[in-house]
Amino acid sequence: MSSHDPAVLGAIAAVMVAYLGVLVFIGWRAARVTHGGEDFHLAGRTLGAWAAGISSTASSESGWVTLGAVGMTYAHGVSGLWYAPGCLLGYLVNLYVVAPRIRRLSRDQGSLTLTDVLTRRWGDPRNVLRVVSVAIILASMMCYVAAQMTAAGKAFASTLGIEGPLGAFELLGRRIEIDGYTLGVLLGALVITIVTSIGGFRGVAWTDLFQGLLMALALAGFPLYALARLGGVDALAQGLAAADPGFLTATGRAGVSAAFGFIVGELGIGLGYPGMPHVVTRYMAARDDEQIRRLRLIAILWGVVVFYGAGLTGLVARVMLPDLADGERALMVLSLRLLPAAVAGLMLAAVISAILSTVSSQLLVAASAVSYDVIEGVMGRRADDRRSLRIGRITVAAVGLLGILFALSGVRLVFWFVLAAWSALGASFGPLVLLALGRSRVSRHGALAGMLTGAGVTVAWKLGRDIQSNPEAFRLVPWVTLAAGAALLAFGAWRRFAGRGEAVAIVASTAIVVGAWGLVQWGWLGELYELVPAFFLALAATLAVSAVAPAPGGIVPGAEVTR
Amino acid sequence: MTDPHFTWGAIALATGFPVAVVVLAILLHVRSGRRGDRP
Repeated sequence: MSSHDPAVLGAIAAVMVAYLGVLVFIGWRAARVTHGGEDFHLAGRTLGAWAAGISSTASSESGWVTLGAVGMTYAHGVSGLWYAPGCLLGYLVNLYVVAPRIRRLSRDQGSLTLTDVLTRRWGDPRNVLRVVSVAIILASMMCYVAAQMTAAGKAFASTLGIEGPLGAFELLGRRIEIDGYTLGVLLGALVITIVTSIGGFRGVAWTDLFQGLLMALALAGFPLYALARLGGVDALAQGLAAADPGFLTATGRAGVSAAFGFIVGELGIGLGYPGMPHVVTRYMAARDDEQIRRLRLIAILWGVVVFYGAGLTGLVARVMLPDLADGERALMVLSLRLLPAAVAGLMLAAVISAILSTVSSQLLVAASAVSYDVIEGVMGRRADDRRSLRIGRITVAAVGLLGILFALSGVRLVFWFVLAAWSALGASFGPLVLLALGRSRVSRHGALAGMLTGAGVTVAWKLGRDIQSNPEAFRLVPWVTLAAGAALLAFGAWRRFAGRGEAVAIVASTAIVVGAWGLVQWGWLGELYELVPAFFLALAATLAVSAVAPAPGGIVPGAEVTR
Repeated sequence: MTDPHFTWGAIALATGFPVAVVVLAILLHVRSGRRGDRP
């Protein structure tokens, strides 16, 4: 079956229109019960187990799971599955350690965002932590959102077989061409921006629930059906062995020692989960402890089905479609090959669901960072409930349109940015979230060092490892880091926001980032995914600077306000 | 010549780990429900 067949194209397009229509309907229903700031940013802390649980998992698994994870096992066989234990270990930490504690802490503090939780936890009299946190969130989220919108455009265009030009129109004297990619970006991104803008957190959580269930159904049923069509597990083993005997092992053909860096890096993906603002806010929005207890089981089952369903799809596709140029398209191509058109349309909807459920959550986090953390927090313009709602909606629309412009620009962001953004968020906030939930002796200066180190080491490690791709520019990384540290110190002294503690944090994180850049050039360490060193160095920086530069203040879990 | 088969490591990675995680999650869910605990 070819998607170029008009009847097939029509059936798939009809399913896609129905799917997008359901999203708009859910957004409209959510908008009718969203009345104020806490409603818009955190669904009024009323989410049940299903909405909070599936929303937290669907938000964290982007287009990467239906495209990238499938491509991993397509390319590496069973050894490509190492991402799954990494992600599930991250789920276990998030669900059993982070979820119940951050829900109670944020409720006791009255916090609506992750930045809010961290700044109130350790005190932030001069808004230094808040500004740094918002900068990291905005930069990472914009990269992430634009890359996801790019993925949505590609998925629409390639599956519907409309990659060529479709038409053109004049706008302000400029001729603008519409191709399948542009149409895909505009359709998917516009719909999800509208839904997020009007429905707020509740709209995002409800659409996530719908999309997450669609993903789970697709990735539970389709690979098993495809495996049966192939002839079962024995036929799969024979087909994989014929392609490469290493596909039947957990370490690939090269063996354990050669795969060590790869395996540690894949397991390290799980370190990112506690630091994802768009995930932990789902736990903060849960109605009570009972919902947290129930959502754990729901989230774990969802994760197992989706991760291993994606992996099995890649393995079966490797045998049934051995000549695929791009393994990441295996799910879509295989479903077109094996399923009736309308059901294949549902599979495409599942692929797009993985993308849009993440985009909506990240749009909301980025918008909350601007409207709640900056406009209402830093600039001190505390708004009444209706004004807060209006500011939130306008900001979501603005951030969404910015993401669309990025995705439509010449620079089409790729999953390279997704992995870097995941690492920057995970390393900057993961250690701090874990430390914030206990009675650790961390100060706001230590927290500042942790954020700067997490983001800085991510960039330095990535560029240091890829130094051969652009040696002239990437060799400057240590000097740029030193210059940035000096500029921050000078600016802090001039504007009087940086005292001794902040200076210690800036100097320490600058030194660690420069040291990490040197370390990555050393032996097999370059194989490691940047999140692993960035996470542990950020943790070490936080604890060391807190010991050297303690500071009073903040709201301790379960205690009265001390600031 | 024997039929090709998945190694024990591959079986553990692809089926053992997910089954263990699901069993653990169900046990923890049942236990916390029976005790009426806060999570």
